This record gives sequence, C-alpha cells and structure tokens, in this order.
Amino acid sequence: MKFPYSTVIVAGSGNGHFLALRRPEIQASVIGPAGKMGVTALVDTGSDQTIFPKSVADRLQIAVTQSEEFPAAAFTGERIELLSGEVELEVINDGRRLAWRTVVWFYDAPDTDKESVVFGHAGFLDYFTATFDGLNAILTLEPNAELPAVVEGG
Amino acid sequence: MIQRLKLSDCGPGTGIPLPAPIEYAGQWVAWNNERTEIVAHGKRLADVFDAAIASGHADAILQRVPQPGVTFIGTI
Repeated sequence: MKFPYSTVIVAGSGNGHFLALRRPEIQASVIGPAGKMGVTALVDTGSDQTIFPKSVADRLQIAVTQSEEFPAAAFTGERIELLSGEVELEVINDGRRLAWRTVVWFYDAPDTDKESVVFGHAGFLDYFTATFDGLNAILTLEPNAELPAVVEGG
Repeated sequence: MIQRLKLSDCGPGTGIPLPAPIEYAGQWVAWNNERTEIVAHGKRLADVFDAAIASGHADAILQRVPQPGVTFIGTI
C-alpha cells in the first residue's frame, strides 16, 4: 500500500507557487460503536503509541479506561495522562482494505489546538513494514504477520 | 521535506494530495471523500465531523491544518 505524503502550505513564494511541507500522513478511519470517522493521521516512528483526541472517543462512544501503563512523555518531556480503549482501524488504498481491532490511546487535550492524530508503534506501526521514501514523498506500508486482521478485501 | 509547488501540481491524478487553503490554518477541515473539496471546517474535530455529516458527507476525511511557519517536532 503506497500513500503519498500529505501537503501542507507553509508559505507563499510568488508566481502562483507555494512552499509545501510534505508529511507522512495517511487517510484512515477509526470505528467505534457510534460510527466511523475518517481522519488524516501522522505516521510517527517516534511515538510508542497510536493516539487520538479524547473527543473522538466521546463522539464515537468508545469506552475508555485510565491507561495502566506509564504516563506518556511528549518531546519536551511533559508528562501526559492517556486513556485507552479498543477500536477498529481501517485503511483503504488502491482498492485494498485492511481493518483490525486494536487498543489505542486517547489524550484529553486542554485546548483544541492540541488535538492531533498520531499513528505510532502500538496499535499501528507494529503491524506493518513501513518504508518512508523521502525523495518521492511516499510511505509504503505492508502488513506483517502480527496484524490482527478483521477484514482484508477489495 | 519542503517542496515548491503550484496548485496544478496537486490533486487527483497527480500523486500529490491537495493542500488545505492557508485560511484554514489552525483548524480541522473535512474533505469530501475524493479529497477535491472542503465540506466543513472548525476548531473542534468532533464538531467538524458532525458538520460534515450534516452536509451529506459522512465519509469525509478530517485533517488538521497546521499554522504556517510552524514545524512539528514531536507528538502532542
């Protein structure tokens, strides 16, 4: 499955051109008891966990519990309490669909500016061989034997 | 990776996703499923999701649009 990096405008540069930051963000869906939400998520090898804003759990009525693991630490060292819950994740690419049930984590962001979706190792990257092609801005994901597949089809 | 692009370089068939217009910086946007049009936007992810559904786009793709000139150095 090949995913072109997302495009984010960072500045204009004249003559109709703009400077764009290309990021390894992919389209995926998170599915809970109250529905399915499509999101663009940053695939982040530096994150131990897959993390959604808690507002996603609230909206999709996903049951969450206080994470029994150590609190997470952000890049700056700030400690963050996480909640955990079980969801179904789905990625669709070139007519191929992968979906699996997994535990993910939720962060109760103090303000909306801190809401983000990150696909880290637990819940996501552990189930794939990932190749980050920086030159061509393409992320290739191939599922490995650990993927707890619910459905795979076209 | 920083690239110098123009809008015609992006979109369906180009291999480069369309960027959200810069006026949505700091917000969540909901793209239609073809990623050709923004159908809702706002500050709160759940609100944008509901607005997309209300506009007939239950299969919208939500994306956070970062502030221009702000690079991302770590999670959360």
